[in-house]
Parts: sequence; C-alpha cells; structure tokens
Amino acid sequence: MLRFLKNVWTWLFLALAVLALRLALIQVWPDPRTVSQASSQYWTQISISTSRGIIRDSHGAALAMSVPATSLFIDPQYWDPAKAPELKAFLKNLVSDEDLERFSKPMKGRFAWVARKVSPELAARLLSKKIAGLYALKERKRVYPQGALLAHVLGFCDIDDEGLAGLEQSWQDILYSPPQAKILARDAAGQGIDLMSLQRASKAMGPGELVLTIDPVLQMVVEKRLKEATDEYKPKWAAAVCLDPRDGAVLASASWPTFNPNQRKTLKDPATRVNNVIGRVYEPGSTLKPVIMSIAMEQGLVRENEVFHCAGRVRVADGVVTDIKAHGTQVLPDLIVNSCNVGMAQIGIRFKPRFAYDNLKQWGFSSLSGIELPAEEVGLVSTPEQWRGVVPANIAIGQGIGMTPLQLATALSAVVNGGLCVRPYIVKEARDGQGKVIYRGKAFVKNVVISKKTSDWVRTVMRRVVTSGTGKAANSPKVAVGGKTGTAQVAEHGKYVRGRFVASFAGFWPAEDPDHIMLIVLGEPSRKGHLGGAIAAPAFRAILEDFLLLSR
Amino acid sequence: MPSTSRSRKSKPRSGRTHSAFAAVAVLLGVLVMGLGGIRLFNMNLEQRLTRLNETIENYQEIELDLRNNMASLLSPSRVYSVASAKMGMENGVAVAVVTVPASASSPVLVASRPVKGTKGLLGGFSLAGLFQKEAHAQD
Repeated sequence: MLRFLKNVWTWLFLALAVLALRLALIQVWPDPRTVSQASSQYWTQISISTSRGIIRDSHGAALAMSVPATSLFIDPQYWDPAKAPELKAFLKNLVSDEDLERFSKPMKGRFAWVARKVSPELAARLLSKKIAGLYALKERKRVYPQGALLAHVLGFCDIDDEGLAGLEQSWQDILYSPPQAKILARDAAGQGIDLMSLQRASKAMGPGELVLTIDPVLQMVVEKRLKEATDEYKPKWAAAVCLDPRDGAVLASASWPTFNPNQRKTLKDPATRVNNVIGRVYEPGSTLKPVIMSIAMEQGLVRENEVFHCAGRVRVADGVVTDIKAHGTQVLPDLIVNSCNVGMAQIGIRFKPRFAYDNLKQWGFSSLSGIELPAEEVGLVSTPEQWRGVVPANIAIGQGIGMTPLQLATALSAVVNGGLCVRPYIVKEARDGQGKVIYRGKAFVKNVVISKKTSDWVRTVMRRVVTSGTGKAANSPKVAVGGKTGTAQVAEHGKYVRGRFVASFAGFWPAEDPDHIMLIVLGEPSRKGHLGGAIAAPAFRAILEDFLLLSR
Repeated sequence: MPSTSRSRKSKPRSGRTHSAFAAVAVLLGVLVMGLGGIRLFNMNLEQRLTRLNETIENYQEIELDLRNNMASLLSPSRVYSVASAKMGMENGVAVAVVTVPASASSPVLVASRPVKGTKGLLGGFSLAGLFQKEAHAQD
C-alpha cells in the first residue's frame, strides 16, 4: 500500500479522477446560480402568436384566417442607438416618433419591440442591411381575404390576436390558440439561433374552426345593393338581413356604415363599428303590422270578413292616429295591403295589455334572440302598466315599440313559416383544435305563436301587398314575392320629429313556401324620398333578382 | 532465504494489480469516449431535426399565403368586379330561363328577339316567324 502511494502515477491518477468527478458533477448537476446566469446571458424566451382558427362561409371559402408575418425587435445589448434613423427610413409609419426617440438612446433589458407583424418582404429588406442588434421573429397576422365582406359579423382582433368584436370575440375560446414559447440562443456576435421550440413545447391543442350559414353570393349582392341604396338616399344608417324562415339560418347580414377589418383606420369612427342588424333598436312602423294582425287573428280579436272604416285620422284616447290618405271602407286584408293605420289602431285598442305584452315577448321582442354574436340589443316593449291611452294603438302600427332588424325578421319568419318562432343562428358548425365538432347550428323552435291557418292567411295577404298594395316596387316577374312596407317616424326626447323617418321593406320568396325572408332598413334617408315602398322595396327587388341570376 | 521467497511472491501480485488497474482505466476511458461520441451524434441529429422543422415551418407559411390568395380570388365581389369591369359583362336584366322538357319530338329552341330587317314590316308581325319553330316552355 505504501509503495502504491509512493508511486507518482498513483497521485496523477487520483488528481485526474478528482477533476473528472468534478467535471461530471458540474455537467450533470450544475449550480443553479450558474444556470441562471447563463440563461440570462445567452437565452431569451418570448411569446409569439400562432395561427388563429379559420372562419369559413357556407361554401367553405375562408373569411378570416392567419397568415405569416414578421415582427422586428431589438436586443439592447447589441443595439447601436445611432442606427435608429435607418429604422425610421424603412418602417416609416410603423415606428412612432416616441419609439424612435427611445431607440436613439441606450436602453435597458434584452428585448424591445420595433414593429409588429409587418410584411415578410419589408422585413427581409430591412434585415438585409444586417443592422446589429435588430432581429426578426415569425408571427401570424389575422387577415380577412374578402375585405369588408361580412365585416360586422366577423369582427376584428387586436395586435395579439385577441378577438375584440363579432365572431372573433364571441368565439374567442374556439378560435384562439395559446402563444408559442420561442427560445432564442445567442452566439458571441449576438446572432440569434431559433431552437426547436415546436418540439420541446408541450403539445397544446391547435385552434378550432367555424363554418357559417352565410351564403357568400347573397352576402355580396346584399352589401352591393345596400351600398348603392345608401349612396342614392344618404341615410344615417342602414341594415339588411336575410334568413331562412324555416330554420332561422342567417343567409346574409349587412350593416352600413361599414369598415374593412384589414385597415385599422376604417375602425376609427364608432358609428362604423355598430352592427345595425343586432345593435340598432328602432321603431319598425308598418312592417310590424303582419305580426299584430297575426296575433289578433289567432286570438279571435278580428274576423276575416270584418269591415273597417278609415277617414284618414282617428282620435284614440289622448292621441291621434293618422293615415297618408282616407282609405274609406275596407275589409280586414286591406288593412295590410293598404297599410291602413286607422284600421290597425282600431285593432290595437282591442288588445289586453298583459296578454299583448306576454305575447310580444313570445315572438322574441324585448329579449335576446340567441344568435351567436355579441353586442346584441334587447329592444324595448312597454310594460303592461304603460299600455295606456294611445300606446296600444301606436304599437299596433309599429310605433312606440323598439326592436332590432334581426328580431323583426325572426318574428316575420314565424308569420310565414306556419307559426314557429325559431332562434336565428349564424354558425353552422364549430370544430375544436382536434377537428371534433363541438357545436352545430340547427333549427330550434322557441315558441309556437300562431297556427298554420293564420300563418297561411297572413302570408297570402302579404303577397297581395306586393301585387296590388304599397309594395309593388318589390314585385318581380322571376319569383312570387310577398312582403310589407314600412315608413316609421323617429322619436327624440319623447316626441316624433318631423321629417325623420325609417324606411323599410320586409319580403319573402317564393310566396307559396318561403325559403328566404329579407328585411331592408334605411334609417333617416335624406335624399329622394323616405317611403319604404319607394326606396327600400326597389332595393329588395334588385337584391332578389341579382341573387336569382347569380345563384343559378 | 525467507526474504528472497517473499520478494518473489510480491512481484507477481503487484504485476497483476497493475494489469487490473490498467484494464479498468482503459475500459473507463473507452466508455467515456463512447458516451462522448453518442452525445456528439445526438447533437448532430438535433441539428438535422431543427433544419427539418424549419423547412416544415417555411412550407406551412407558403401554404397559408396560398390559402389567403385563394380565398381572395374566390371572393364573389372580386369575381363580380372582374367580370363587369375587365370583361365588360353586364347583368342580364331581361334574361329568362326556359326549361324545355327532354323528348325526341321537342321543338328546337330559338332566340326570342326579332329578326333583323323584318321588325315592324307588317305592324310588328315578323315574316320570319312563319318559318321558325318556337319552343313552348311548360312550367
């Protein structure tokens, strides 16, 4: 043993063994302080956006999707503040003056955004300058390939792909994909190395997908003709919605003024962001008369052959209901065909307030429709205690009651489809990140409000509105159309204002067995007329005929 | 004499000890080198995998761009504007679709516009109409 210890090689071996053991300990179980120091010097982890779920129309075409984009950032440790003007020269409007000033001075930390989600081509041009300290990250940017089409329904996202409006907001949980952790390692020159974060990150579920009930051809036609109508009549707002009355599927939905979600500057005006189809409450005027007539018929408050006399005006309690002209002696259907206010007022005062209020609620008024969109207005129906004086008569002619265009279209669907008040829906199908269907839009009958007999009768009367009544401008030789015109006064501070109207037309086709019902509303037109039959009905016909032509 | 036998016995023992020690050292050295080699091979594979993932990501991005372009091209408003602005197509206001029942004896369908030169010759009645068979559509 002593000789063993006296051997030089023994001691050399022991020394090397100690070094090897120490090396192994450092490699396998490093000191946490060393690890932390190395991480902060050579590694950085940031969150980047991933693809958001695609939203498609009923034909499968993408309406909203995520595309590659490049985001630029600075590592202050390697950044030369003197290079700041070069950034400005390339990125121009993308770098603000405040940011430029910040980049012109020494900065703390290891990360600072320069510009988010610029086009890869622009980023490549800037990166080709090889500015020290400037690096790029691949991200995803939300785009809407069809521009402003269906803008209010789709909504928009913020820079971090969080939904802020429309379907992007209400289906955030399905469309959203958690940001990916990107680990960058730096060499001595500061060049970043993109490591395999895809492989090392935990496997998170990808984004889901939505398929809508929207018919893209009809949607395009509706938006086009609505824009033409707004250019011609200069309303303050406009809305158009088309449903399948049999199951409540929303086939088209358009609101004006509109915006382009690809261009942020079009979002500045708050008026453009309002979806007038679900977010605008207005008094529907005569377009509500078919609903009132249906209720009255169903409850036996009127008879089919009942006769009414219209002298052009009638006093009801504390108010006066007037007509455009004295219609004289009319039978019941004529009240709808001629849109007689005096006759309808006489029916309105027959309603019992409690019953009428509950009945209107069953029709979907003064309650959310259930559509899968956010920011829906409830509307306004006077409570039974408020049904005094002229109020019941006013409600019978569609004044003194507030509703959204979607609520009215849904109620009229019940009038023409046999009495079924269906819940409207716009999402046909929703899938999660693994492709599993987690939601399917389908017909849901909320209430049966009238009988088929009443429905058939009112539908036939509405056909006469178009053939011989106030809605002749909507009549088309291509298909049998039924409908109702509306010209409602606008109230302000409790009084109806002279010269301010809402023109509307609600129509359906084919009249015998409708599979489309569409409502066009022009709010406060300022040029060339204000009557629903004169300005809204022609727009309806134009949309109808375009759609029939293009969808063959 | 005892000292000689002791020294003769100790030499073989120390020789065996040295051989065993050397064998263990060589074995350990080989194992360590093997581990190092495996580690280097692992790093090489990781680098290849990184490059493959980068390639996959690049193609995925190209696919997304193509999908975006396709969606834009499929847009009905784009199709409509190209058809009307660039190709000069117009909405057929007076277009009517006539369905002719398929049968061996069904007449030939002809255009319904008046024949040139004969319009108004006989108060609107076209002589050419006498020599043309017209389809009779049935709803």
